[in-house]
Amino acid sequence: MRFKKAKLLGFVIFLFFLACENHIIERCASDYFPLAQGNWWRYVSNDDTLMVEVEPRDTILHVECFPVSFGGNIEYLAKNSESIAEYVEIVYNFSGQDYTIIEDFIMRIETPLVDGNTWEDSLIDSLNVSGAWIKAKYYINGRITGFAYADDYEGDVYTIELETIETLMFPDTMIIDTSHVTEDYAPNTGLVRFHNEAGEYNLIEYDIQ
Amino acid sequence: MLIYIIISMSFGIEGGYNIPAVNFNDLKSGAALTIFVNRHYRIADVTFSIGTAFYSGDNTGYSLNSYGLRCGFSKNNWKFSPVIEFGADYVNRKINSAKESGYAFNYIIGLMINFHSNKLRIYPKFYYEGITDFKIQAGFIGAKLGIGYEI
Repeated sequence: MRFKKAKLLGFVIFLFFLACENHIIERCASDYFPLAQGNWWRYVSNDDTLMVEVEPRDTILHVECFPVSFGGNIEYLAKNSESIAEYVEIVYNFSGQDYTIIEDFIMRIETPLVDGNTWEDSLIDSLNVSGAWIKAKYYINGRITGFAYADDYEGDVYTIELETIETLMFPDTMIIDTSHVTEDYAPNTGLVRFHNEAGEYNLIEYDIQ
Repeated sequence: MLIYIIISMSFGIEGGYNIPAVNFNDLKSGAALTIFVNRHYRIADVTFSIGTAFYSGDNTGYSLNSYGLRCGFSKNNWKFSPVIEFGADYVNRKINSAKESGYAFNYIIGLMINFHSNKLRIYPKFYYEGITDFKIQAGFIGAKLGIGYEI
C-alpha cells in the first residue's frame, strides 16, 4: 500500500516536473500587444527618452484602429485576428500639392507569435500626376528570431526583426528607403525594447489598463 | 491477478467538442478524442486514458494540438457522476511552418450522465478542461459523448 502511494506521488511529481520551466501555455494565452486607450510606455536610450501612448480609438478606411503616439508622431495600429496591422500613407508632393499614392493597412506583425515564423506583405499603387505615372511600393517582412525568459517581465520575451522598404518610382528615377528594426515583446506588457537606426530603447516605466 | 485486473476492466472511446473559455483568445474551437481503460473500485472507478485534441485558430494558419496521458476518477454506476481527471499534455502550436512545443499539466472537472445497457455504457460528459504550465491558467469548456464496454 505504501509502495502504491509512493508511485502515485511520484507520478504527480513527474507531471509537475514536466510542466516546470516550460511556459508554452503562457505564450499561447498571453497578450503581447496590449493596445488599449490610456496605456503608455516610457523608453530610454543613451541620450533620449521616448513616450509611447495609446490614444482613443479611431476609424480609418472603415478599420477600427488605435492611434499610438510615438513621441508625438502618430501611428495607427489595428489589431485583428491575424495580425497587428499598420496604416501606411505615401504622399507625393508636386508643385505644392499633395497626391496620395498609397493609403492602406499592411500586416506589420503576424499573430499569434510563434518562434521561427516569417511573414511579408506589400502595398503597391500608382497615380498619374500631371501626365507622369508615379508608382509607390511599401514592403514589409518580418521574422521571429526567438524567445527567452526575462526575469524583469516574468515571462518569455519574443524578439522580432522587421525590414521595411519604401519605394517611390518616377519616370526617370527611383527613391528607395530601407529601414530595419528589432523589437522585443513581453507577455501582457507589450514592446519592452527596440533597436533601430536611432539606437536602442529600453522600457523603464509603463502602465497597462 | 492479471486475469482479475482484465476482467474487472472496461474500455471505451469518447469524442467531443471544446471551446476556449479562459484565455486562449487566438483559438476558435477544437475537437477532442480519447480512448480509455477503466477499472472499478469500491470507492470510485479509475480511468487511464490517452487523448488528443486539435484546435484551430482565428488566424487560419494557426493551430494548437495536444496529446495527453491522464488518470481520472468517476462513479460509473451512478446516473449522474462527477468526473475528475488530471495528467500531462504534450502541446504544440503551429503557425504556417513555424512550430513550438512543450509540456503542460491538464485537468478536467465535470459531470457525466451514465446510461447502461447490458455491458455497454453510453454517457454524455460536460466539463471544464484546464491546462497550465504553472505560470498561467487557460481552459476550455467542452462536451463529449463516450461509449464504454465492460469485459
